Amino acid sequence: MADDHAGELPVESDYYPITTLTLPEGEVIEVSGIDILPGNKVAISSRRGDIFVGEEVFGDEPKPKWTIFARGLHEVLGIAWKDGWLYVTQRPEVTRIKDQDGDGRADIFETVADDWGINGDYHEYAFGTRHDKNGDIWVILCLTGSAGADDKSPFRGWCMRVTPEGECIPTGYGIRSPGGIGFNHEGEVFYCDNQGLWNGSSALKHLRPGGFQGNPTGNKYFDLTDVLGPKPPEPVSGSRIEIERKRIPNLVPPPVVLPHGKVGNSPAGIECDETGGKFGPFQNQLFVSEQTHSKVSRVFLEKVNGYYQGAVFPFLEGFDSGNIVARFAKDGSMLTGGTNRGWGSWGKKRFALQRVNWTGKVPFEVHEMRVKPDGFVLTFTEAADPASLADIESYIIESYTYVYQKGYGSPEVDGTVPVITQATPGEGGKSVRLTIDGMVKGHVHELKMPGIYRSTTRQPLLHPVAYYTLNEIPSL
Amino acid sequence: MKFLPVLRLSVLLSLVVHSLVLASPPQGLKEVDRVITISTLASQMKYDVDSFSVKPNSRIKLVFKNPDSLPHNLILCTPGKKKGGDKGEEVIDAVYKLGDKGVKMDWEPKGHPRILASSGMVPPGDEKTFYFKVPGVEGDYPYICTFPGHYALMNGVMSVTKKVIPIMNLKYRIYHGKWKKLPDFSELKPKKEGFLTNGLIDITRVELTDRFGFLFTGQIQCKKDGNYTFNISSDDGSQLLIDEQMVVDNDGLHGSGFKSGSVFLEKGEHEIEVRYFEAGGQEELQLTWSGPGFKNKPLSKDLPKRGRAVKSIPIAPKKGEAIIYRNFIDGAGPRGIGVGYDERVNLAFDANNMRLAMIWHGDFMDGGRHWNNRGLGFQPPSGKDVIHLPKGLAFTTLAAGDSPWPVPEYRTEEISFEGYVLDKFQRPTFNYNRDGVSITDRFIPVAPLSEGQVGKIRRVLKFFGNDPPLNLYLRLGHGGFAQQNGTFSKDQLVISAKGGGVLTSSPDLRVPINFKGKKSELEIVYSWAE
Repeated sequence: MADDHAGELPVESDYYPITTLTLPEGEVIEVSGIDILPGNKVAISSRRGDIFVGEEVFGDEPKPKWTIFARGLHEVLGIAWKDGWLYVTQRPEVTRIKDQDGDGRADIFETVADDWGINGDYHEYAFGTRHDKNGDIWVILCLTGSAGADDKSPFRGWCMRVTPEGECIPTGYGIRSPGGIGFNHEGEVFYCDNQGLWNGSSALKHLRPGGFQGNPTGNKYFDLTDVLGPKPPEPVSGSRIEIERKRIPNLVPPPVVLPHGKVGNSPAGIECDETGGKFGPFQNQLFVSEQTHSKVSRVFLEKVNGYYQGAVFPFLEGFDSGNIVARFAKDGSMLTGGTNRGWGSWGKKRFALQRVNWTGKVPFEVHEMRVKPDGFVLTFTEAADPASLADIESYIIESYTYVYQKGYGSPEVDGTVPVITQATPGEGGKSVRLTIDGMVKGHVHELKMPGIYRSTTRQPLLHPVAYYTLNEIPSL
Repeated sequence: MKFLPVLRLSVLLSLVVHSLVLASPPQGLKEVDRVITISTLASQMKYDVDSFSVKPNSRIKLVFKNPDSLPHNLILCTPGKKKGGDKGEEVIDAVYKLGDKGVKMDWEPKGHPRILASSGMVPPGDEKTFYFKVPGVEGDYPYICTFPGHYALMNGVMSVTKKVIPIMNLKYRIYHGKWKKLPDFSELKPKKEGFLTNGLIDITRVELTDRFGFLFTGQIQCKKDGNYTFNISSDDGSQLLIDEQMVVDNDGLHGSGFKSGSVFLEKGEHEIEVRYFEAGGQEELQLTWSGPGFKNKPLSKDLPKRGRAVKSIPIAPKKGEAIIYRNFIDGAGPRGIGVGYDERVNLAFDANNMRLAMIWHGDFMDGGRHWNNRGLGFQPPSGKDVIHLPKGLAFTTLAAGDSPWPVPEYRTEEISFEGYVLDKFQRPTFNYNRDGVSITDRFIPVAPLSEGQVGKIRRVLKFFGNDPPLNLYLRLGHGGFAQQNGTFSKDQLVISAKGGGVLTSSPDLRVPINFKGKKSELEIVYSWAE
């Protein structure tokens, strides 16, 4: 009887149950932005352009009370509270809004910056961050029709930094069709770009100032600014990122490819776990919303030779609608919101606001995956059975990349099967050092770990798969 | 021997090619209703079929192939208590409890109440056939590989349902490419494939809007001998084949085009194949069929609709309030800001040029275009008597009152938009800045004096600048206005202005902004001619 639970197979909801939060009846709130306001209130924005503020969103049996804060904005894709103002990134501009007369509804709508064009194409989305440490909001601008750069809409495919003074500073370019943007714990800015032209697979990308993200369509706007120097050379269609980055030094290789169809089809918002352990063992890791698959993936990043790179792991699926954004709250819970309007999702609700709480039980997962000159070191959230770690049959590894091309997406190409020659468990089974023959620079390394067991319960990993993007190999 | 309806032709072929030791069918299952083939995918830790549907009490022969380099099994489980995502967890628990005995028992807790049928462990490169009768209870029956650690990725669902499935074993394959007519899909590698358990053709599983193709294959059931007609509407090209014979050829680049074809079919199952591609623009694939005793039954999820109008979502102000709609507004541009007043008058502001773009009365706007699907295009006003005001800049400096007005630009750089402030009735006052002169532009609806009449729009403009220009003008209208008692009218539009003399010497109706010190103020009333 005592070990009755020992053999039970865990599921995601044992660790991270999802709570659906009710929204005001009769309202269509396709959640596209979430932020926390003073008094632990929650602001949510919608694609229809409304902003609601909720109280009593937290606790075991939340019964949120919502009030309308603002209506009539243009497809809001980012909200941020600062110093009594709610900063809103909407399609034509960054606006800050405020309730001056105290009746609960915003009455001042002040344009902060609007130095980019829109031409009436629905794809010309603008996603905005919260404020960075300088008080700037980073805005990324989807290409016209996700494929073009209209003369009427300058700076499509660019990243603009909006300063507190309302200046709009071109900061990066080469963007195709973003799904969301966010910071890591160091304040660096990352965004997700969707598979398409010049983008073989969806990926999490790093907005290094001055960096080229890979799609050259918007580079024509170099004619309008010299802030980022001269226009870079055109990439060669049909090549590989690994090859082209040698020719185009500003080309930033995607830190974490989110293999299309495997990890998701439409990556969206990025949120960093800075809850100090309130959300479990994944402090400083990134959580990526995925619209099509209605799930959230987890990303571990490290810096190698000056570039961010790392691995993506499945985290939690089964959300009600297509996940667009996530936001950690003060209690360490993660609020998630989304919609499937225009792009279908596995979760069949048209829109949803949900909350993920950590139960306090630690899931048996790969915690971090770090690259070594000749392999990887994996650490685990709980001790693994050392024998299972040491058995090279516990692992299946393959590598592949994508064609870097003008055409839409790419199949997985240049596939190889690297060989794990040795698996050396660390002390206490909390880590393993894999020695690998045939790692390929520039490739995604897909590692499956069906043979690893938790030492105490002999259960397998909750998610026995990782996808590491190997842009850089350390020398030590 | 009775004819066996088969899932795929390749199954029969493989039976011939490989010399297999078949588990002989048990008593009562010598004749089966369905043959189903499921294969593992090499080094992917997955089955190739993640779901299929069968009828209650039907007899099934299941061929399980394992081309992978690891041993796998396929164990069919009865439905569990868990709603959704059930992967036969109790069976997996029982496997763990086998402990060291697990290997010898092929990781199968034989006799477990949730096990319905099992392939047994199949070594790499081998295959096994087994037979079972589907229970009478409808529901989702998961199947899993119980080799430790595999089930999380290797699982699927057998859906037991009485529902008549339009196309059985409906498989889709998605291809990417740019074509002007249907390519030979057999020469191409699919980007993605899977099964549609509801048996309805559906192209929404593609994540593209352009440049893709679909190949659908499955079987249809004909209850009688007779003539059957197949109807296809597609954008772009499509073809439908029955038992490898072309029945409808709707190939080529075209908008939504309808075609049909007929064929005589014998009672029983027939192979159906539908080919489709989309080059650019709208995409559509709709199919129905008719036969003895039935008409226009759906074969696709998307079906012909009457008209193509999207669902209307009227936007109306609350009692006593105004409402704002910022979007792509036909007549006011991509930075359009529509304002609807409870007084049944409306306006749209163009924040690309800081101009009042349109006024109209009656209903305000319809959100249906932008709030359904992806929201394509520009939405015109809903109401009546839409009056368009001049395009381009509304304010500029001129050498003289009758100098040519600047040619309209797509977006002005002369004036910057600074947002708006709402009053307690949610009515906006727009703010903008022109070279150090701040301009506030307030609109106030005026209710009609009596019912049945149309209201007016009052506009109060305030200018403030430390060093204001002496030659700033506002353009109110363009073209020949008739002047009478201080009002100016043209077609339906009637304008009056206070605070500045209206100039009519140019082709425009212009008002010079006369500053008294740092300030100037102007009031304009817009109304509709009786």
